[in-house]
Amino acid sequence: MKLPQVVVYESDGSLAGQIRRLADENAWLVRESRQSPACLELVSEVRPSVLLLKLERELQDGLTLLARVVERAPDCPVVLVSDVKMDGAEQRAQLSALAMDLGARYVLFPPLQTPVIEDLVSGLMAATIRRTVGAPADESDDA
Amino acid sequence: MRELPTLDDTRCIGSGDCVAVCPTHCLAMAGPVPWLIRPADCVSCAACVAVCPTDAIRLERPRLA
Repeated sequence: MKLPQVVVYESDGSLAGQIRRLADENAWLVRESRQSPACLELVSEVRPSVLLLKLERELQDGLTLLARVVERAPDCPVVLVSDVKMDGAEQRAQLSALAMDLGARYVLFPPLQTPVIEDLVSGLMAATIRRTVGAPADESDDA
Repeated sequence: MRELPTLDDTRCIGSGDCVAVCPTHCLAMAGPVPWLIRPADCVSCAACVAVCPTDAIRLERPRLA
């Protein structure tokens, strides 16, 4: 039976660690992927409720993966999490605009605070479930 | 992680009986098949297993791969 699940693409496991408590609390599955081809395959296979895609040193690789994921699974909300230190607001704005053009729902920059990531994932998860089953994902949403 | 309902898609006929019988309302139909939308609320009671007319549901620990 399909479960709400989050796929995390990154090289070091830190982002997955930041959402572990939230995922455990809700019994969501968290799947980690460290290679682009494996990530694409995973997204196609499991159709995750949310994909967290960490952008690391190789910007082009991450953005290419983003474009391919959106092409393969347009319903899967993708959050681009930049781990790349950028000097100014202009660079961050350019990257955000490009990522959103490619299909990212949100773009996060350091410092990557756990409460922010948890809130974002919770909201996207609830929205995906609501869209899929056509009903509120949580009674509290009705308030 | 505890045991949760898993679905054999090839057997499911989309009757929705499992959704109706679930005492904690953790299941919902997503198109033709049920989806475990609130796994944290599942109490592994196996009511869905018992009511399924085609034996398409089992309780087992979710697999990550």
